[in-house]
Amino acid sequence: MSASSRRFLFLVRHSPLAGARFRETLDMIFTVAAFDQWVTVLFLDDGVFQLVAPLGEHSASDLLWGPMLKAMDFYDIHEILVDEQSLRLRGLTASDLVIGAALVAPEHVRTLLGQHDRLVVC
Amino acid sequence: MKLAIQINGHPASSMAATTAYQFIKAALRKDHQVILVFFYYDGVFSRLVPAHTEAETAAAVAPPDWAALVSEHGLDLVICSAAAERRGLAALSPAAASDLMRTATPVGTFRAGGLGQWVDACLRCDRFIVFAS
Repeated sequence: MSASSRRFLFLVRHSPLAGARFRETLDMIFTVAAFDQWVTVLFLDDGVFQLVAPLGEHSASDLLWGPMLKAMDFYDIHEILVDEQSLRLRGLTASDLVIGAALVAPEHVRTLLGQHDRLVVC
Repeated sequence: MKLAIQINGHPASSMAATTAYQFIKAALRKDHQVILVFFYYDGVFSRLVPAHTEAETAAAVAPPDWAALVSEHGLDLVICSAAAERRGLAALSPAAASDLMRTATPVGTFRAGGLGQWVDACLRCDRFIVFAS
């Protein structure tokens, strides 16, 4: 990573029902990663549903944007985070997530914002 | 200070474009530099925004006059071509787009671009600001 690199934090707040919106968010994320920048993605509010498979399904392949989401490994995304409170308010737990992600407590979100140079609200 | 702006909201159903426009005008008055205004998601519809009636234009918060910003300050207004194409906009010729508007936004106000330009601006600017929907 070069000296001029920036830390990008993407806030994903829209559910899979928002049409191609998440696809366009992933386009931004992958473009930034392709420029060799530090990328963190935080799913919060209805955004947490992006990582939850449809009822009766259990794998990342069943997600609407599953194949593209799985490419996050390939693009060397630094961290995939999920707001723990958003999950709880929607009756979900970490075991409902089909993509590996770390839970973040609401009070840590503020710290997270301070640790990044570019905040992209999607 | 060098600023890069991103506008995500549809001009008809969100205040993103109007707020961004007011912000940009204020920033320019304070001698800040706006290196890019990038229209993404439904923000790409700014290219097609219908002209407003005189009453709307005279309202307290006037709708964006992007063409004036370009001619007066030489701003770089970039519409994401992929996002526009997904919404059926790229297929419209400038003439057809003008037909949809009561007062045409002059051809050349916006230019088509991509996420590469957006990242480049994000890296060069001092502050990056998103006007979400």
